[in-house]
Amino acid sequence: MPAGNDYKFRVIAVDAIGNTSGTWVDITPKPDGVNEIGDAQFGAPQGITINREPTSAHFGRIYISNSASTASTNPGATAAGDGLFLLNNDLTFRGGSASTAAAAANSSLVTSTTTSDVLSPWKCNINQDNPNEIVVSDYLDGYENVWVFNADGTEVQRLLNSSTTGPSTGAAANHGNQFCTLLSGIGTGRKLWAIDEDKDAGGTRFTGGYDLLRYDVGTTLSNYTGQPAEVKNGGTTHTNPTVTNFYSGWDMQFGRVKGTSRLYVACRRGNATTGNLAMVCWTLDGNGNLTGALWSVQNPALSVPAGLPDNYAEGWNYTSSIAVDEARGRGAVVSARVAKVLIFNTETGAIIGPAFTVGNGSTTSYRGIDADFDAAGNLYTANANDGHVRVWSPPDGPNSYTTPYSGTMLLNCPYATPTILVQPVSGKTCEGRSFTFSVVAEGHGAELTYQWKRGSTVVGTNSPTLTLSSVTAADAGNYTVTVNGCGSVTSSVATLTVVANCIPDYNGDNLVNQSDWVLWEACATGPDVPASSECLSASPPKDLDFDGDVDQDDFGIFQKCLNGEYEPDPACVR
Amino acid sequence: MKEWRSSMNTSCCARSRLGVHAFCCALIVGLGSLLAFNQQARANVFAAHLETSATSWNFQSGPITFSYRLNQPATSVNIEIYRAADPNTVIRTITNCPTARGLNQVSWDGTDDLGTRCLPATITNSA
Repeated sequence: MPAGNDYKFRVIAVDAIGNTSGTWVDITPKPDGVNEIGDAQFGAPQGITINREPTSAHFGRIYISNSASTASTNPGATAAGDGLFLLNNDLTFRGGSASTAAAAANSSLVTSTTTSDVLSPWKCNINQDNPNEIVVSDYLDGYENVWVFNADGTEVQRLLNSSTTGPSTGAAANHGNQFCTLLSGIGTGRKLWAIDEDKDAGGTRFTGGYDLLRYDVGTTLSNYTGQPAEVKNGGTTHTNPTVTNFYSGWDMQFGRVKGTSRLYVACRRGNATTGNLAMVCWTLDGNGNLTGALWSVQNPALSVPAGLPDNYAEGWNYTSSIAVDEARGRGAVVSARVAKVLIFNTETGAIIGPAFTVGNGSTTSYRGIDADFDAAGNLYTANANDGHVRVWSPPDGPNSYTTPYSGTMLLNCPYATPTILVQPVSGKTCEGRSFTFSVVAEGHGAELTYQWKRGSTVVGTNSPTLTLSSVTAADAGNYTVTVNGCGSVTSSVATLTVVANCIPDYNGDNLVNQSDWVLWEACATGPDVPASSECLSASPPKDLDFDGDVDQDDFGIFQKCLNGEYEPDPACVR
Repeated sequence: MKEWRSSMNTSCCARSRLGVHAFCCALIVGLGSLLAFNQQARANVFAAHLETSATSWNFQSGPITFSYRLNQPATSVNIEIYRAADPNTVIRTITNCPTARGLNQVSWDGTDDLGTRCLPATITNSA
């Protein structure tokens, strides 16, 4: 298909009202005015990740990994099945044309129906450098596999398969239940990050614990068997280079900006038995490798505002999620036990509050609450304890986000681009006269339109001719015309030269009379007979109509300027 | 899941030297009930899932319909159409587009802001 007129669309959505409450507010949709959209939809939504890359074709899509299937955990749950669910940015299930919610929900389930080994998925995360990849960690099936889905869930890779093809020895064997996995990079630079929560007492399969592992998987699509390129906090010492008693990492997150330089990790609790929250923020180099710690928080009690849960006794335990919104300088950590969120400063790790409750917590350690921010700064929580997915509006006031979203549609004209048959011609004229450029073009399938420019300035549209009336020196310059039809074509450059003084007072006596006629006649050649270069370059011009000869047409102009004893009339050459 | 709001907008109006286009009318769908939704807890809004149901289109046969989804109700929504090769040149701005949460639809009659009818075209989803 020849190149055509390609168009794109963007939607500029503005909220001039916003959240005016000053606090985080639950704005979960309630279609019927009573029940939240997520009510009884999920068995145990353990993970949530949102595509917030505006240039992505799947921008706004929400992915939820569901780890328990039925009403056994949440009576009435309709989204049965372990797997990954696709939702629109308004929390409706993507796809699903069936009449019942259950059927619609299941039509959005993209894992267990196609891959029987995806059991009990835990966290899901979008590759921050490739929003078409969603990595899902597998928890409780005893295999600890890592799955990678494309944006539509139509392609599934078992990237890490520790049960069968993974290494049985070495550091790579030291991972246990991987609560959270991340992907970064593309192509040969693709890296898989896994955080290791369990098997800390020397599990039967694996001997290590609490590890943060990085596998440089590159372009490997399945069953990566290499050793991890990096291990932090390996072994059973509970010691981390930057966070003492780093214990049971449960979640981590990148800054979620392409090429980001930070990795944030949240630990289930500060140490093995007590303590509350531990976080660490590592910096990464340009190749996506960990470099140093930007900050770490082990016990934020001193920085937690009064009245907020600040110790184990108050219940802050089982930190199950960390979400990051670097664009706004804030992150969120979630306690699965008390189902509360604390907001922290991504630059320092300081808790900046407030804490707010996001549903029901649980003392059951493995039922987590995950969180992620959308592009507009709203926080989404997926609560495996009560089966709800909720949306929280930040206390930023109104109109804090506008979406310059680039659409995915192109209009391609199916016909050949126009062609220019006659190019515009350079010319010369006098100040005060009019001048006309013209172009002849042909095209198919569409009415041709025209846009004339002097340099980069648009000076005329929608005509194959451009007439400049009462020309001034400012009109001098290089002109082009772009012809739009099925596609567009731009002409060659035509130059307009503007002569400031055209009054044929050749002897400079402020009269146009017989003496000037004698000087003009000396250059006369006749029609279409080229005048000498000396005559053509004379000033004031002898070739008064600038057609290359000095003939009766020029005399006609000269004659209109004859005025005997009076001042020449400037209008005589117009 | 059943959509609880799906607005087909026939009221988007464009600036045009030829005046308001035929498809632009005054019908505003459901704004009253929309604004009743939890005004003090409106979220920061963004649009996504910009799509069209058509795979080919000829404007001579009528306007094209495309859709977008809002995560939350918006106060205002405009749609800008621009040449892919020149994103800074908007050829058409459609204003007063549907602001409801969820799926919204908009018609475009293929004219630019000068009233010039655009081209017969095929439409390709680049996704």
